[in-house]
Order: sequence, then structure tokens, then C-alpha cells
Amino acid sequence: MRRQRGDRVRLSCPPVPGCRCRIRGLGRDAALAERLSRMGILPGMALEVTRVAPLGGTVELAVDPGQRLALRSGELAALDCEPLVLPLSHARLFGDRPLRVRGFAGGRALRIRMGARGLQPGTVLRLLDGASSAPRMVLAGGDPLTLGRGEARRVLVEPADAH
Amino acid sequence: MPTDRVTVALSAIPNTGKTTLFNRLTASNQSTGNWPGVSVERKTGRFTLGEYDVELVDLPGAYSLSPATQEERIVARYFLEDPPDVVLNLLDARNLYRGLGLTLQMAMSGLPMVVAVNMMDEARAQGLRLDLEALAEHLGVPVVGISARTGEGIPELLETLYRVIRHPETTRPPHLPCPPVLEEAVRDLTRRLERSGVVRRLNPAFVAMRMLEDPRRPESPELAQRAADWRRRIEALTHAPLAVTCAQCRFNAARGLALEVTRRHPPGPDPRSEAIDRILLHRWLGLPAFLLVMAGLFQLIYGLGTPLQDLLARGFEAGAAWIQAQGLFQSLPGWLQSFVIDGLWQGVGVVLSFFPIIVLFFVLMSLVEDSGYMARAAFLMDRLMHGLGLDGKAFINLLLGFGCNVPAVMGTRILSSPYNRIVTMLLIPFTLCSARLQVFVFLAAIFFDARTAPWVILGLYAASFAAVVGIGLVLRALRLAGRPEPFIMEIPPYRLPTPGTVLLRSWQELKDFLYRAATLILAGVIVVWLLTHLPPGEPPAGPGTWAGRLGHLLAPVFAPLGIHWQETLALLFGFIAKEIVIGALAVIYGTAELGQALAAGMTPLGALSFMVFVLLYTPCVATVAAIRAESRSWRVTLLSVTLGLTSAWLASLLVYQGGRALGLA
Repeated sequence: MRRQRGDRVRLSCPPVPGCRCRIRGLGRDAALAERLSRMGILPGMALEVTRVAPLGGTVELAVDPGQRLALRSGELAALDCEPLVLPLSHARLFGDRPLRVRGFAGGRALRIRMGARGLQPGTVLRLLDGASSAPRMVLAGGDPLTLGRGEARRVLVEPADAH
Repeated sequence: MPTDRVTVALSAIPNTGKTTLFNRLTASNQSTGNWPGVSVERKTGRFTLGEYDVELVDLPGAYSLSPATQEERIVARYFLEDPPDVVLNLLDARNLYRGLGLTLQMAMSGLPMVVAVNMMDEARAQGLRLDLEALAEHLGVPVVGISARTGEGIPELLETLYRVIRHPETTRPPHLPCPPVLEEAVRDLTRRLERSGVVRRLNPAFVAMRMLEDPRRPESPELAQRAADWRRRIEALTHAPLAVTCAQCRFNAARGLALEVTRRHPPGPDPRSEAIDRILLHRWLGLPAFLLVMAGLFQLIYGLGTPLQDLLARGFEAGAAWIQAQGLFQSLPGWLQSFVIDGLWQGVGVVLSFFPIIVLFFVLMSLVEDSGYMARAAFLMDRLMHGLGLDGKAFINLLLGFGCNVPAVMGTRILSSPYNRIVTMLLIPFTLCSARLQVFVFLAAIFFDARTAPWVILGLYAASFAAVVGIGLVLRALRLAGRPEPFIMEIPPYRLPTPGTVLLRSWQELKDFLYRAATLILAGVIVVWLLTHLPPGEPPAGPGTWAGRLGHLLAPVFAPLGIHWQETLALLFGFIAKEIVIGALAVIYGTAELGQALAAGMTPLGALSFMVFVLLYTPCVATVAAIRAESRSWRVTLLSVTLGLTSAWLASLLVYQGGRALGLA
């Protein structure tokens, strides 16, 4: 993470489905900022990565009022965004804070499987080894849990102190 | 009798259904031209409204009047230099916020305005309720709810438009809360503008805003300097580009307005589109589905179009026979007979031969585009084109170029930026079209055995791909067509295309092709006839004709490629249409046993080099005409021909000399 003007840490939204961010700034690329702003995409808005193209490199975003956009991941990375919801696989971007399960990017089968392991919407947990993409964690009850890499991408978490 | 002429400008952000409304209002009464100085189409239509003869100007789809893209510069300049009598602004009922940014900007101009809120039917179906009266009150202009697809609300819209034309009231410009420094700048520039005494129909604050955003083109150098200074100050204070600051003011107001007039919110994004996209944009199913759609497109355009072309060609032969049987024709001198049949008649035939595929191409492309799948296809294919600086839509044009270059070049109009359009139309001529395939199949059968020939053809396809990628990278590196732009593409909800719009579009494309490209094609065919038949008395395409002499003159250039003057001459004929190369060789060698004659004079390696040359060299005259018509630039047209000739020469040299070095001769 690079330091920007002042003390603000420049954050960005990783190009993974389920990631939800709030735009803080449109980035330093003036051409990109102008093009986004004229479409009404401005600081303060929330955006969510809904899909990654099969060949990679391009993401689909849902922007606040039901608008869908395609953007390249490089351009997404140029935006200054504060993550609101992240998949567990990228939850280290939240730092050391306790996390709460927000939902699952998947169907009923995934929900049941995760429920059986103690994860359901609202479960609070703390990451032990955030650096690995197959994260180990402790649930609020004290039970340790390790998820597979694929599973971790589909469990969406937010900081437990968020509303 | 309609007597008074009024100009109404139709403006809307992309994907609002502007074309459908335009077609509904003006039906067949449309004409196209282009905006001054740029290659963007300017569409106008006429209709009568009571005693008024209304000229409806279809403004390019721009998101704002801030000059970030070519379209936006056009719209901004149009408002400043030639303001319309009335502005007809179109909004999408399902997403007012997005469209209101432009509406507010236009309302600032003070011009009389009518706002039409489109897709009311779809919004209702989604459970959305809008309070249009509140919107009208806030904007200070009449607002009408319509559905351009079904015709709902159109009579009311026309009535309102009539009322506004009859009693044009200057709109009270809405006030947008902006950062103090911006407001101060606008006030200062407004004062100076008013003092300069230029009486205009536009609100001076609107002109002041435009000057701030584009200080290059205002009233006086002194004002320009002033505007540029203000701009620097504002940007230093807000730490953001001016366009972003302005957008923020507009969209803050737009958000409030949208919230206020929306009585019931829809349940998020269109659920039907979501369901379709779960399959069509699926991680594993998306690409196969795309390939299926493309294969279907290709088959429908060329599988249906080619037999129709053959039918037309037979009709033309019959026509030629009929002409030749006429007494009047037979009384003409021989050279004139040949000119009429091989020059004029053939030229007209070449032009007409493109009709079936152009119509099919645009019918199907409109279906793909209007349905909303084009944006999905671009999303799926974007990664592949990224390296060339192009976006995913260009892929479809390039792919369809493998059938025929001409409609593919015409189709570049749908691409999103000038860079994309120019680069794509420069790359399309390197795709191996079906005309070239005919030449390759014929030659490969003569020079290679049945086992090798398919591999030769496959190799040529690979060479074609390589050429597209290679030339694309060169164009990008040399910046011959400007800079690539950031890729931000809206993914619109799926929508059923309206047959009327699709047919009208195809008809217009056909008309455009006839008007813009036909003359050039005819001229090209006639020039080739002149070269191959003059001076009089020489046998056609013989060594004594100008073309023959040219062939001999160029012999040293083509010798290192293993290509003789006879083939060089055939290449000249290939400019008319590449499949003519074979027929031309038969005429030049003066034999029906062309295979034997060719095999006697040429090695397989020479034939391969010749095929590579045919693959890459100058696009046929119809493609050149299409490039000229689409780019409206001789520079781009010339660049295309030059790129083709140089790369063909280099590649053939590589093949022939490389092959000889390997001992293949």
C-alpha cells in the first residue's frame, strides 16, 4: 500500500467477486476520473465486483443505483476505495480487526456446508494467519477453523465493528 | 402548409432508447451527414408538427457536456455555436440518476426544453413509480412519460413539444450547489461575458461553465486567459480535475432529485438480465456460448449471403449477355464494348454484389447490439484485445472480417472511441476473407498434393491471425492512430430489439454504402480497365498494355519474391475483388488449362509467396472505399493501402528467400 497525500492509506478493491467498496477518490489518472465522473460514479458511492471475465483482466461492477459496468482490473486498482466487504481470502486488507460473516457467494449447498462448520451470516471471527490464501481463523466461540482456498473466496466478511 | 422551420435537438446518454424514439418521430424521413471536422455521423430527421417543419437533430450519445470524448466535444460545441430552438432530452425511467446529470447540464443552457422519460412500461413492470410532476416542477420544464418502443405517451410528447415551440419560454436554469471557488469563477466569467455585450440565447453562466471546461475556444483571448487561470485555481483548491468537481455538483443534485421523484424503488438490477447473464457470462459456459453466437452470426451472414451473391452474379452475367445481344451495342466499336461490359457493368456488379451481405450483416449486428449482447461479448473478449489497446467489441468486427472485410469495416461504427475505430478498420483488411480463400483453395490444389494443401490453407489462416496481432502491436507502438482510452463500458439490461429499428438501420447502411462507397468502387474498377486495355489495339491484359508495362517495370521489385510479371498483373486485377485474381491469370496466360500453365512457370515456394502476398496486400477496392467512407480520412485510407503493400512485400520476401535458404525452392 502506498501512502497518499496526508495520512490516508491508498486502498483499492481487489478484483474478486463479492468485494464491496466505497469510493474515496477517483485516482490520479485524470482521464479515467473524468470518464467515471461524467457517468455519475463519484466518491462516496459504493461499488461491488459482481463478476470476473472468464479470461480474467476485466471485471463487472454493480454501482449504487442498479447500474452495471465493465472495467479493467488495472483501472479498478487505480481507484481509491475503502473495502466494506471482502472474501475471506482477501480479508487481510481489513487488518487485525475482528470480522463478521456477511454472506456467501454461492448457493444453498455452500451455505449448509459452511453452517456445519460453524460459519453463518453474523458469525464473528478473527483471522490467525491472514497472509495465507487458505486462511486459519478462530471463531468467536474459540473454535479454530481452517478453510480451503476456494471456500475462502466465497465467504464474504466485513469488519465486526461495521453496521 | 408547414412553413416555419424549427430545430429540435434530441439528447440522451447512451442506452436510453434514443434511436428508437428518433425513428418513431421521423420514420423514413432521415438523412445522414457528419459533424464538422470529425468522422462522427450526424443524423437528422424531419417531421411536421402543426404548422411547423421540425428538423430533429440526433445528438451523439454523450454522458455530459464536459469535453472528455469526441462525442461530448461535438455536443458541447453544437450548443455553443448553433444552439437548437428546443432541446428534447430523454431519460431512462429505470435510472433517472444517471441521466439527470446531462439533463441538468442542458437545462443550465436556458434553452427551451422538454424532458421525455422513456421506458415507463418497463419501469412499471419492475414496480417503479415515478412522480413526473415533481420532476417537472424541480427542473422547471415540461416532463412527459413515454415508451418509445410501444408508442405510449408519444402523442402527449408531440403536443408538449408543439406547445413549447409555439410559446418558447426560456428555461429558468436550475441552481446547482458547487464549491464556493467554482461559483465565484462562474460569476466572474458571467459578468465579463455580459459586459462584452454579445447578446446570445444561451444563459451566460452556461457559457461561462463551458469556457472553464474548455478554455481553448471562448470569445476572446483575454477571456480565455481568465478562464484558464480560474481553472488552475479551482483545481489547486479542490485537488481534483475540474470535470470531476463539476460532475460532483451535478450528480449531488441529480441524486436528490431522483430520490424525490421515485415513489417506489425497484428491487435492484433487472432480475431477468441477471438470470440470463448467469449463463451467458458464466465462468465456463460464457465463452462456449459466445463462440456459438459468433458461429451462428457467421453462418447466417455468409451462409445466407454467399448464395444470394452468387445469384446476383449470375443475374449480372445474364445481363451482360443481354446487353451484348443488342443491336445498338454490337454497332459500338470493340474497345467501347469492352469498356461497357468489363468496366462499367463489372463495376456496378461489384457494388451490387455486396448488398446481400451488408443487409444481413447489419440486421444481425443490430439484433446483437440492440438486445444488449454486444456489451456482454465485449466483456468476455476484452482480455484478448487489451494487448492491442482495443476493447472487446473490436474482436467481433475482426472475426466477421474473416467472411468479408467490407461490412466488417462498416461495422466499426459501433466501436466506442476514434482510436478503436481507426485501429480496427486498419486491421480488418488482414483477415482472410472468403474471396481470398477462393484464390488459396485454387492455387493450393495446383501446387500442393491433397495431403499438404489443407495445411497450407490452415497456415495462411495462422498467418492472417499473426498479421492482425503483429500490425496491431506496431500501430499501438507507433501511435499512428492516437492513444487508447480507458475502458469503461456500461452493461445495459437485455431488451427485445424492435424490428422497425433493425430494418431501418440496415436500409440506411445500404444507402450509405451506395452513396459513399459506390463511386469510389466504380472509379477503381474503371481505372483497372483503363490500365489493362490501353493503349487501344493491344490485346487486353497483354504485355503491351499499360498494366503489362507496369508489370515489367515492377519486375525487379517482385523478383525477390518469386513472383513473375504475369502474376503481378493479376494482383492488379485483384484490386477489384480478390477472387478475380484467378480469372485474371487465365486471361493473362490466355489458356483454359490454367493449372498446367501456372505449374510450368512457378515453383510451389513461389506460389506460397504469391498466396502470402494476396493475403496481405492492398485491401480490395470495396474495402478501401468502405475505409474511406467510415474514417472520412484519406490519410487513414492511404495508411491502410501502404500497410498492406509493405507488409505483403516483406512477408513474401521472408517466405520466398527463407524457403530458398532452407533449400525448398
